[in-house]
Amino acid sequence: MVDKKQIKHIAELAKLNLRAHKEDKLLEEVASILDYIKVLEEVDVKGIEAMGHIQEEENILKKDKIKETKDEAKKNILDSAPEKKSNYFKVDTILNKEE
Amino acid sequence: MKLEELTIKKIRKGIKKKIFSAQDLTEKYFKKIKKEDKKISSYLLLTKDLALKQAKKIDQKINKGDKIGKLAGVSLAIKDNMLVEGEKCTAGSKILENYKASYSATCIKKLIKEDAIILGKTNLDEFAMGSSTENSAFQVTKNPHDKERVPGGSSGGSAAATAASLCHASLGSDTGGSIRQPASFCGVVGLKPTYGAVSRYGLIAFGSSLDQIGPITKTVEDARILFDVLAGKDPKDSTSMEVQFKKNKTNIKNTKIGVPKEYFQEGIDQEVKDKIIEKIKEFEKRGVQVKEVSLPHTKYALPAYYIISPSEASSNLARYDGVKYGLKTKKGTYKDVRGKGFGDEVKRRIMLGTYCLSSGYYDAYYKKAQKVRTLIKEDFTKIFKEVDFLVTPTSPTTAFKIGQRTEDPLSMYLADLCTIPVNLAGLPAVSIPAGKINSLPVGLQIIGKPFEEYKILDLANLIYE
Repeated sequence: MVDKKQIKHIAELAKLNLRAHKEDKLLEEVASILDYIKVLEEVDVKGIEAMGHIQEEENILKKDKIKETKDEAKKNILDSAPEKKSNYFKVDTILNKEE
Repeated sequence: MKLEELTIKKIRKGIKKKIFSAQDLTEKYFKKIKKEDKKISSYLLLTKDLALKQAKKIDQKINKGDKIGKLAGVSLAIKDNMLVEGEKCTAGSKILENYKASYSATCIKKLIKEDAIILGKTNLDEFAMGSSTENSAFQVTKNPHDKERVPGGSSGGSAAATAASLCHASLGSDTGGSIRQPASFCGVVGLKPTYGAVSRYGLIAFGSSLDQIGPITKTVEDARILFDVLAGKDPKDSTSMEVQFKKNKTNIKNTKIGVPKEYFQEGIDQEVKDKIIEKIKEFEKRGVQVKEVSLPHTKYALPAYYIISPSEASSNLARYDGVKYGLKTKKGTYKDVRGKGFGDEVKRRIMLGTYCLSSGYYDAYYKKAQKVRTLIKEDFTKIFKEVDFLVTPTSPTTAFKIGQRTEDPLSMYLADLCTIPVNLAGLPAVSIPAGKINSLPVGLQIIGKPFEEYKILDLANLIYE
């Protein structure tokens, strides 16, 4: 069964900052949902194929042609960014960052 | 002209004959919204400038004698998880509170091309995760039939606005019942198309193998007209398909309805069951054959869905990183932005999905659920060799009280018991009003074979009046 250590690990994988009291609540809720899901254990799925998608088509390809993006669209996209610098998104330093 | 009594055909005719102008009609809706939406809080945003500009364009077309579109002057409300260029799109989340769409969804482009008018964006459960619209980060929408009750969800704003005539019709999205269940609670028509019938381009993704956009309307005929506009292949969504729909009227007399016994068992209110059985008898009276059938894996649909949809969601929602758009926090890190920007239900599902996909649990949960999904789909495929339609309740209950289910996530999930299997199998289904219990609407669900939307709407029409 899921425990607090796992909840911390999963939150780390999902990149979610959780407050301590939220961790306890989530642990309880996730455990109860997983308990509900357990009923699937009784289903015999031997020889049954897993369905990732309802459609069977695969690899719908398009021509590898460059389409010009309108300057206005570029501007709109960049305008949505919390921080930008000229034509780029601005991000925090990740590499060589002193902790 | 009474807004409550309009239909798409009547609007188009009225405008064409200059009985009223598109601008008059649009203004009338905004006046009604201003006066009445305080009580139900269905809209998050009104797009008045856009709407009036579009209305003016239509009136000019009429004056010049130009051809007008199929939806000329029809005022629509759009669930706030579909992008309208230049307008805010929040998905009901704090993380997108100030996000402005840089392009329009394909379905929005199609509506505008047919001269529809977009009145505004409606409230929803955050990222469409919920069954009551209470998970919105911004406001709680009330059911127009009883303001102490929820409108259903996650397209609760769209369903409530349609029911209260604060728009003529609306768009919703349906991942596990989010069009049909609120339509049922609000006493309107809600159509979830076959997976692939309508482009998802510009719909904020939740569970990509399950999501579909569809109309919420006051009549079956309006749902048909809107679906006709929305359907079709879009190069920008590889899962959308070009289908030659059979649009000619179905001879209902030669058709067979299956009544799956699993949808009339424990967990469904007795009064709801009685109401639906009453309606099934009405179908029978009109010459349709009725047969009891069984879909043996039904009880596994909800648990399988609560593995598959959170798994897909946890992956889809990884894009909200606070770099390209969305919330910026003081600390500004990926984890901090997500911790502050997402609400409780969204976090719950991301955690659940991440757990089910994580190393060591993938086979036991995700893979297993995918296999169960195959069995659920096969149940439907088999039964559709014997019958043409399946008829069930849309939701196990009528609208519940605000706050009644928010403390227990599982009790909320059960509200989608009858709608979820349809998404897992990718089938089309419609919810239509089937009378009332204690003045609260009940919804009847008709499920059809893939791409037989017009056929299920024909059957719906038989008892709709």
